[in-house]
Amino acid sequence: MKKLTEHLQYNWWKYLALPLASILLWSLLFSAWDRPDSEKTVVMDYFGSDMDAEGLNEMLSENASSISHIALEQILLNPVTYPDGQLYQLLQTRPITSDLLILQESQLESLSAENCFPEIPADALEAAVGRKDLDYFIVDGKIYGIYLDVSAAEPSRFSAFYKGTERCIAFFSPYSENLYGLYGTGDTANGAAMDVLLYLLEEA
Amino acid sequence: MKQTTLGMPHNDYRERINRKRVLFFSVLALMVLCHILLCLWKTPENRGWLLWANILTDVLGGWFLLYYQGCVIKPMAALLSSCGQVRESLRGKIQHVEARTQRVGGIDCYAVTVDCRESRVVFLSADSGIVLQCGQMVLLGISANYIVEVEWL
Repeated sequence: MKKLTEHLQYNWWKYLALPLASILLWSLLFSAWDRPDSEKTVVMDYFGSDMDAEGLNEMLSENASSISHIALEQILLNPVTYPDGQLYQLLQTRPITSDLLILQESQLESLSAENCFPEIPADALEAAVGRKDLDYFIVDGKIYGIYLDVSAAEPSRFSAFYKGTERCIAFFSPYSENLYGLYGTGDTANGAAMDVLLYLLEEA
Repeated sequence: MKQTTLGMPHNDYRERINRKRVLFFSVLALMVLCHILLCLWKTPENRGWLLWANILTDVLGGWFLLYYQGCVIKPMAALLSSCGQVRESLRGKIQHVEARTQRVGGIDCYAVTVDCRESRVVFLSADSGIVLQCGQMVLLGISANYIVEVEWL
């Protein structure tokens, strides 16, 4: 007992540090482990207003397994808030972690889309998707985005959760791994983000 | 009567330490195995308690290893390294034995004052099992100021 007491006098901090280090280590490991693979996750940043993000996310989660040819584990529309007039700065400085960025048409008045978003290579996109009836957002003859509502007569799944009157446009992230490798990242066979986009464009 | 601090030959004592080390590494391997099994078993449903099971494995196993290394293996290894060849002999009367131990070179020792031509303080490991009492006439084998062997005269 005396030996143990003396041992603890010199080494008590090790006995205290061990549980703390263990909790920290295993919490980090488990959260990293539980995080879905980026190739099996589609995230959309939504910069506008008037959107029932919760409802849309619920619907997307329920159908996650059937939306894409990739077995998606998570599809998430992430509403992004920002101070008035700061959208351009936000897009320039914020690290892009999403696959798609959705903006309302009026938000593009304060920034030039061609400076903020990458051009969508139409030929490569159509070769991968095989669908030409998409409503593109075009600047100087180049495609930068895709409108999310095809027509008012045929409300899309996206429109069912969107309460605004302005049109919304989806832009691609050059860092996405789920866009058929259009920008040199990810597998060229993985178009999960495009599948989600097409799913949202379909009639409700 | 003669007694060594180790109480047995050096090689036997070294063997004894090695056996303790085998136990130490066995517990370590068991912990790793336990973690592997727990992680293989992980599902989204049992995630919460498996996290705590892993932490508990670390804490209990880690505490045992800390205790075993600090209180068993390290003192034994330090004692073995201190009990080298007898460098000098000291004949005299035990004048005083400290009641409390003090840590000298990582070993818990009793300070022993021996009266030979002049008073001299040497150290006796608390783990040695040797009991010295004041007034006893002894012949001490000393190595680096540690008592290695004692012969009662």
